[in-house]
Amino acid sequence: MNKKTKKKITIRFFLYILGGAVIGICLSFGTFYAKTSLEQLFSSFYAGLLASSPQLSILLGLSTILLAYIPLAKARKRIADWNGWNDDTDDTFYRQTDRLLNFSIGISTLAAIVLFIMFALLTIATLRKHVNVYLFFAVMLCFLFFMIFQSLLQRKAVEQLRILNPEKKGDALELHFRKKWLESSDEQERLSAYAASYKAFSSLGIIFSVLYILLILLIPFFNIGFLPFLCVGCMWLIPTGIYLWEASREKPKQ
Amino acid sequence: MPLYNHLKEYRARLGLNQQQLGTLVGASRQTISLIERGDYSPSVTLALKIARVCKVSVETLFEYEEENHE
Repeated sequence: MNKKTKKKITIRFFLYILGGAVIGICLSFGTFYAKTSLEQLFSSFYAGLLASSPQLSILLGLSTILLAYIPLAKARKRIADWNGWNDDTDDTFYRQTDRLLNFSIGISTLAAIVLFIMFALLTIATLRKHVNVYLFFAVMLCFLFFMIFQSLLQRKAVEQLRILNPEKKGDALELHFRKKWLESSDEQERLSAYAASYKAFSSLGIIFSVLYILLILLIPFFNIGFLPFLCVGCMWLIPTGIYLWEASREKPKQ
Repeated sequence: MPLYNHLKEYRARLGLNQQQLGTLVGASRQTISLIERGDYSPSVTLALKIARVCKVSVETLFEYEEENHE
């Protein structure tokens, strides 16, 4: 790298920092001047969210089950009509069926995370007397049903994937499923999995920076305290630490 | 991609389908298909395994052509 390019990169880096600082200052002043109206908007939105948390939870639970079930049912039908691999088998069949199954698994995974968030909201709503205790227990039972149903849908989708890829091992309900699945994958599939993991890891820096700025901006409106910052900090530190540790470790012989 | 191959041709000579060849070399059918289409360059180990099953040298099966950057 020559001196000119190095200088260009350094100037660009400082411009980014400066730009970020200017945007941050503008947002801070904006929230300070609009504090009262934003406070009202946030508090009414939050109160509405707390009051409607049982209905929202059930709606989200049912809709995600439906969203995960439809592509799974489509994929199952395609696989049932399929005659097995031969040289005439079009790769489009594999790609489309694989996409349907992965979509179903993805929805189930995301649904579980969203349901956990909704459960936290429901608990807060019950403690602040926005929701009746009996209703809380009824929705909790629904949560349990949703989680079990989503897990069973995941298992079904994995079973269908195993029909397409007979060399694959592992049951979705097993404790070490991911490890078994990866161990039974070949080099190309592992590379794809590693590339996806690296992409997810690379996006963490942006996600946590945005989260951190959002939390800072929310301080005037909610009494959020230090805990959310600690959570974001830990979630940022732990994967980064694991990545640095793994990258510096001596590679095992293959 | 500068890596070309004659895998489909040699596989047909052996009378194997992609799934069967995949089982023999410890790869998935999808990977064999990607290699045949030129969408994936196998590792040296996998290339050697495929060449051994096809009973030819790696150089016969895979060809590397320098890309023209002009």
